[in-house]
Amino acid sequence: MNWQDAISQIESSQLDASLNVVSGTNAFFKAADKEPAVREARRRLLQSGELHEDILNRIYDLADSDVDPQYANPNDAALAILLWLSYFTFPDYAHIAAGYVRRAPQCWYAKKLANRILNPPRSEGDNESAASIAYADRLHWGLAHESSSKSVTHIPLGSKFRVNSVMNARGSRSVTAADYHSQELGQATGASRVNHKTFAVDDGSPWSLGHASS
Amino acid sequence: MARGVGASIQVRSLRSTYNCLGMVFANRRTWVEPEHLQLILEEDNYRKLVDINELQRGDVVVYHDDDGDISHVGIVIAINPWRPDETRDIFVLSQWGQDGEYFHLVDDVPHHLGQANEYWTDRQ
Repeated sequence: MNWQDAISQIESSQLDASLNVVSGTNAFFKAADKEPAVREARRRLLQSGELHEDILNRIYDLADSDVDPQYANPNDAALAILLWLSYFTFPDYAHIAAGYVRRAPQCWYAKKLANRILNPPRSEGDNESAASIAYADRLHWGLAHESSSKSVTHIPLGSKFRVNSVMNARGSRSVTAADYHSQELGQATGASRVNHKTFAVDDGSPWSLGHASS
Repeated sequence: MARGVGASIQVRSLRSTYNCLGMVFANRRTWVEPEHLQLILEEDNYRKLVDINELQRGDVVVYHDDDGDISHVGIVIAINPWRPDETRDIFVLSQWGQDGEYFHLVDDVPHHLGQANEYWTDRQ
């Protein structure tokens, strides 16, 4: 399975139908994690930095597509999975992606993850309410940790990708990663989110909690 | 129109306002994450059935996935008499994620919903 095949399957209505029968958010991500296309996309993302921009652009396009307001967003599952992939393979882009997703109408799982990324829990009460998305978090940290030796995280300065200004309701423009670091993220979520984490090598288990250090 | 897994019948399909727990415990008004099930069962004084012969219509069936996590719930709608081979059909109504409500045999669910292995009742 190549990269395009994996993305096509993630965005397919078949996968959407299969995953939409699960009963909750943790179950959704758990089921998604068992899909061969998701695993293949994750593997390739961990190997190649260039694909991160592909993911970001796909999320932008899906989030921006028109949906019938009477129905759930047909891209909900795909957006949730792509955002999740971005979240645990390249956390810095995930904040931009989460901004796109939060704008997409009629989403459920994708919006829950986007809110979780943009508003991480800060108190014990928040942590309790975030328990329902713990699986997504656990895998996020586990895989960030798994990819530690590849030193994920630095957005190559000068690389271009479409990003939607949070200050504008709609429309896109092309900005550089430097723009992103200095302006977009700072305005959107607080400059404190712009951190370059490296992750300590551990036993390699994708489920174990990684240790972040700045 | 009937569709579903095996002999399951989709009986209604609304917007994804509620999930299986929302159907069983919240009058189809909201989505309740499965992580809250244990608390609901305790606070609403449900008790786990230890004898399958106690099972009655209106009781709650709980499904678990391979990891032992709660994956689904439904309401027992009908129970056929035991057959000579000591099997019987248990019919359940449940909401499958965001997909809709199904009337199905207790084990006739998509694999993501796990296996039925607990029954609970609020009968005292």
